[in-house]
Amino acid sequence: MLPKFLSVIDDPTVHEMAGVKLAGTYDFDNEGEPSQRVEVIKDGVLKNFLMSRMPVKNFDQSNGHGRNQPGRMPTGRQGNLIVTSTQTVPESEMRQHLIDEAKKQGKPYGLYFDDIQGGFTLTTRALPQAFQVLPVLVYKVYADGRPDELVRGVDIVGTPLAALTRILTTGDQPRVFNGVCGAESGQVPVAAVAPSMLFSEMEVQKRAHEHERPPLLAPPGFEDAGVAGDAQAMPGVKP
Amino acid sequence: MKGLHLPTALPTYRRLMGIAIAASLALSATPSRATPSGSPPSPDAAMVAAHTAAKGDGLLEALLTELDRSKAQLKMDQVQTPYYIEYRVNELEDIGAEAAFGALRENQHMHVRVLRVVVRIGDYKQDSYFGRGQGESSILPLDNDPIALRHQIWLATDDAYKAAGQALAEKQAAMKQFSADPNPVDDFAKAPQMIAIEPTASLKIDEAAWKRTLEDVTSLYKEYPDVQSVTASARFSAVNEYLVNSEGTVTRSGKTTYNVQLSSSAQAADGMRLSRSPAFMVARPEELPTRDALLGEAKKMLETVVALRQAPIVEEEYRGPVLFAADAGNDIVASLIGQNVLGQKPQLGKPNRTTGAFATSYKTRVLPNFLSVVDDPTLKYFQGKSLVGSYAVDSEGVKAQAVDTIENGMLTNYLLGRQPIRDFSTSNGHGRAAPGSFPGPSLGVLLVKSSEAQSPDELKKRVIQMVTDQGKAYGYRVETLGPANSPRLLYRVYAKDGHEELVRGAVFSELDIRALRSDLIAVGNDPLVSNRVGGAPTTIISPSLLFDELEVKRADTSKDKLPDYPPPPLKK
Repeated sequence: MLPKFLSVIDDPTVHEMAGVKLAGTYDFDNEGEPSQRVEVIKDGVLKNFLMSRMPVKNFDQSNGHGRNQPGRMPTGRQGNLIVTSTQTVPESEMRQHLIDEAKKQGKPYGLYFDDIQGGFTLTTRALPQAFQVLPVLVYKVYADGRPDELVRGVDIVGTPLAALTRILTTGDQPRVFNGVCGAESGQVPVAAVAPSMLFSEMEVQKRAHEHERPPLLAPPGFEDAGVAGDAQAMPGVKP
Repeated sequence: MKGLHLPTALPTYRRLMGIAIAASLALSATPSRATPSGSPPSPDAAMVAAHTAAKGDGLLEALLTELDRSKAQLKMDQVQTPYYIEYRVNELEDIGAEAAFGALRENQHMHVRVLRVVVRIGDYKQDSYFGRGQGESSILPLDNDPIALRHQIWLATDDAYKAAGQALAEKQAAMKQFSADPNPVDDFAKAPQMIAIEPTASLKIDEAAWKRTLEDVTSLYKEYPDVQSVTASARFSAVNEYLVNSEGTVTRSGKTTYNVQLSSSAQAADGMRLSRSPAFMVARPEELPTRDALLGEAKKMLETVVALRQAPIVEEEYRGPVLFAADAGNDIVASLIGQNVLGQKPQLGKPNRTTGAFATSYKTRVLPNFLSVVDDPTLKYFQGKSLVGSYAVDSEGVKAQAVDTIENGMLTNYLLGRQPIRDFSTSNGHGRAAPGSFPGPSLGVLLVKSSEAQSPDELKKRVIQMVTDQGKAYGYRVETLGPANSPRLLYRVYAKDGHEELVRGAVFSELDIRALRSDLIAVGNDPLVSNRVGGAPTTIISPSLLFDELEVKRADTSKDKLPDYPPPPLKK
């Protein structure tokens, strides 16, 4: 499922990583099972699922991941999902690796995704298994040494298996994302911990965008500044 | 779809619109003035007067500052400038608590300011008030930081103006589907400038004591093992309304409502579900029932629920006299008269005058000629009781007026806001709105008056006389109604000795406006004040009603099974 150098565990028993308290920590799950560290992917190979007391084929025991929003029925859910890598480069060199890869592919720039607002994956069989990530801060990192350029209006899309096999290398500093995950049993607090990752290839698409006009009048308090709404233009990205 | 990851810092969304709000305080006499019609002030003079009136109220000042700016500057190419802009803010403070089986199970506090912006383009004859052009809502900061307030007002106004541009085009396109109306009704009524700054209202209640009372009241379940649910809830609200518009109107008013409701249900041995839910709603906390009085009411409720379990079912159809006690009559007046005297403009392209059942009844008889109906929001008290439907200025800045809607049985007027209907071109001060919602014609204090009223005892005697004459063994008397005017407490009144027998499982099948006009033969001299929750709180004052012929028949209820095993034992 993943390159050999990557492993994924889900460990709700860990309280803190990289100096940050984790949102997906708990002692017992919502079915009263003690929380457990579960090795989901070991050296790139899928080993286990996050289980509630509802068995699935070949996995008939809970591993302490039955979770739910108050008032909902529990299902197997993420707690603290932790990605580890055995093929790392120092975080400071990741940018150079991105530039090198862009040059190798004959591309004028690579994209650096700094922050995202969220994302989702389609998991039903009726629809294609695809994911979309909604980035907030995206930079074009130019291969010819021009300064990085902040761009907007681009989403990452793809299918999980194809995208994940294109990870070339990872950074050496795990970063924590604390958030809320929604699924069949509602919203539950979760954490994801992973280093930065360099993908050889990733599909991006222009974000659906309505050409709404910015407000007509200047914001209160700035009436004399001559600013009307969203004045600074930012370049769109051409994938 | 799975795995919508959102950062925890994302702002939580506010649930809010559509919270049942109840409000109304006895409006103290405060300065209010309407500029004399005939000599409208110049727009500038009107706004100067508006600013003067708003001085000292940070929220009104912020609203007026943005109003001035929007009025002067809002202009988008190919879209007209607005001819009317309105800001209405409802500041709502709400305490809600509910107890069941002796313990509190819900405890909520809410404080929110909802802004509603209406920007109209076009003119009074035809404008953009259609679809999204009916206004934008937004939540305002709770303190009076002028920039923070104005920022939200600014964005909401911008949205409302753009929506108005789109709405006017859509409305004109939609109207092309219909043949042109030779006598079109205006879209918006002119109204004089109104300046009325009343004091704001706040809740004055011993919250802790009330929570204990709710718990004590519901502890009574221990004495009534056959009752399946006992709850008591309280909802206390203070709503302050702020209104400014581009005609120079500035109003501020405050209302409080205090509502306590009991509720209980049980199943009869045959599975029929039975319930009661008496409510007490007042504008002044001192009028709420005392703890002991409420305990007494709760006992009465529980005893009638237990009695209903034992009561015989109405099996056979009955057609004959039915007497409605004032409490039951009140619900009939609310649904069959109250809803139909509203001058609600029908959808685009519909020819009717209103959406109600009295749409074509103007100047025709809708009630027996001994009855008249007036809606008088200026009435603050009736028989010493506060009326929550009372107000001095409506949600559109129009002065409240007493309106005779039905005179000696004849429909003579509708209750109107600033949306005209055919033959009625101006507001009569009944444009009212729930917080964040658009205003519409609404009841204030609806009063049913009779030229020939009789005591409830005399009415009961008449029932006995009538059934005796008709050779029937009994007639019916209704004490209270439930949803859809179905009887909750229905009694057979026996002809031979006048004794009453509680029955259950009945409905009325012909209780409609025709029955009201033709079968209503007498009313009582026992007018009852009923304060009601709604979008805007209303009051209905009406007496007992006697119908000479109504059909009472078996309700089509499902036979649910009883619980499989008994309730938990009270003692360990």
